Parts: sequence; structure tokens; C-alpha cells
Amino acid sequence: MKTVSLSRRLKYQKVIMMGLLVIFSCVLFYSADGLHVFGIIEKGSLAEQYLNEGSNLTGSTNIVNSIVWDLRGFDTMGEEIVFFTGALGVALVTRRMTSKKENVVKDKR
Amino acid sequence: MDIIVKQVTKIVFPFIVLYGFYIALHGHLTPGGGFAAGAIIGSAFALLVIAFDEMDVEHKLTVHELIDIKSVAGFFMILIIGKLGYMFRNKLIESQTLFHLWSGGFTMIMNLAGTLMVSSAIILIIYSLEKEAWKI
Amino acid sequence: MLLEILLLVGIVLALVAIELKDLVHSVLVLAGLDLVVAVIFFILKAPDIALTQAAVCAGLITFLFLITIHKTERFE
Repeated sequence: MKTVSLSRRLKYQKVIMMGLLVIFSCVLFYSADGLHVFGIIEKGSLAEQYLNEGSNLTGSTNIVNSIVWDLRGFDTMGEEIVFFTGALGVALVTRRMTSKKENVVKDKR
Repeated sequence: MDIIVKQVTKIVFPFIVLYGFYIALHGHLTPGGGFAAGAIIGSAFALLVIAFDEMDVEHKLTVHELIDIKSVAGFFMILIIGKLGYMFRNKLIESQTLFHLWSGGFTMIMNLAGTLMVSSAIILIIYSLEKEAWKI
Repeated sequence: MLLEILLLVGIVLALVAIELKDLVHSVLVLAGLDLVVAVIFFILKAPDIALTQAAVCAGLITFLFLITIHKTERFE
């Protein structure tokens, strides 16, 4: 079996990655064609139902906030858990590693 | 920092915290909500940490354990409220009128719990990063 | 018309933030870019997203970048 040198292999990889990039961008542009038109509510969709019945269903007049915190409250709870876990990770990594006696001495200074 | 920054921070800091709680309480009537209110309260404490030295701030707000307890309390508040929501939901909404402050059903309480949790998470990040005296 | 002008200003601010050599100035220009994005959200009728963007990106992200710059190096 013939071995391919390193520079040739890098060139092949570059060509393959360019082809993959073109294919991926084609897929993205094709799927962007199927999005909703901005600012127009389709009939029979979930958004229309929320806009008509949302304030009676949740009792609040800010529809966006009532969807985020009430109708989709379980998803928001998961989001909060992720956020709080990130904060705990930062605090665990950078927390001061001294005992309480040294803190008292430092504070009196 | 400068004395100008210190004096302006002393004047402005309570108003920023008050504005954050206003957004949290009116989250079901005006734009805003839990995340925005928590971010505003957290950035108020960031201003406090920038303006004064770390030691001055730590004498005012005593221990880190308090902040930890508060954030864990917000987390459990969201859990318990989310469980209780399916029992008392209809009675709570029937007792309220639309377009008043006492409306919103569960959105209002969830906004308060989310504000507590987001703001204490941001305060936790700020105070744990802020370990040395630093000047720019 | 205002939307296109704001988008062009945003692109120019992003390029300036890349090209500056003093990192503190670069972070301040980045905060200005975030404020422009918040105004764009407000024009597109999403005021709550605009509020969150202005509070988080112009306040907290700038603070975290300044701490990081202070702990490493100021000039690239």
C-alpha cells in the first residue's frame, strides 16, 4: 500500500472540508426558505391560539412572559438549573482556599 | 477607584436595586421578567464591587454562605411552586382581575423566584471572581 | 431605513473591536455594539429581549472581560 505524504493529506482534507461546507450551507439556505414570514400569524397555528386564549388561560396580560414562566414553566426550570450549575462551577473553581482563621486575620488588617 | 465613582455609586445603587424589583413585580404587565430583573440586580452589585475595594464590600455583606443559601432557596422555591401550581391554579386565577397589579396567577410568583435565583447566581460569580484588589 | 443604518453601524463597530490593539478600548467598543443590537431588538418589537440584552451584554459581559484582561495582559 502506498503511503501518502503529510502535505498531500492536508491538501485532501482541505478539499473535503470545503465540499462539506458547501453542502452544509446549501442545506441551511434550503431550510431557511421554509421559515414563517416575519410578523404574519398563520391560521390554526399554536401562536394564534396563545394570542387569543392566553390571557384567560394564565391570567396575565404579558403573553411572552406568561408563555415563558407559566405555560412552558418546566423548560424554564431546566434552563435555570443549567444556569445555576454554571455559577456553582465558577464558584467551585475560583473559591478562596483558606480556613476561617486566616480570613479573620485578613479582615482585621 | 475615584471619589467621584464612589459617591455616585452610593447615590445610585439603591435605585438600581429598586428598578430591578419593579421589573420583577410588574413582569406580567410590562415587558421584562425574571431574567432581566435578575441581571439588573446582579449588575448593581457588580457596580458596587468595581467602585469600592473588596474588603469594604465584604464588611457590609458578611459571608458567602448567605448567598449560597439564598440561591439554593430560589431553586427549591421554583421546584415547590411548580408542583403546587397544578393544584391551586384555577382558584388563584379566579380571584384576580386582569390589568391590575394583583393578576397574573402563577407568572408573578415564578417571576419572583426566578429573580432571586438569577440574581444570586450572578452575585455568586462576581464575588468568587473578585478575590484580589485590582485596579484598571 | 433606520434598521439598515443600525446594522451597518454594528458591522463597523465589530470590525473596529477586532482591529484595536488596546484590549480595554476593544471591550468598550464591544459594549457599544451590544447597545446597538439592543436598539435593533427594540425596533423589531421585542422589548423584553432588548432589556435583557442591554443588562447582560453591556453590563456583565464587560465586567467579566475587564477582570480577565486585568488578570492577563492588556496589550496584544
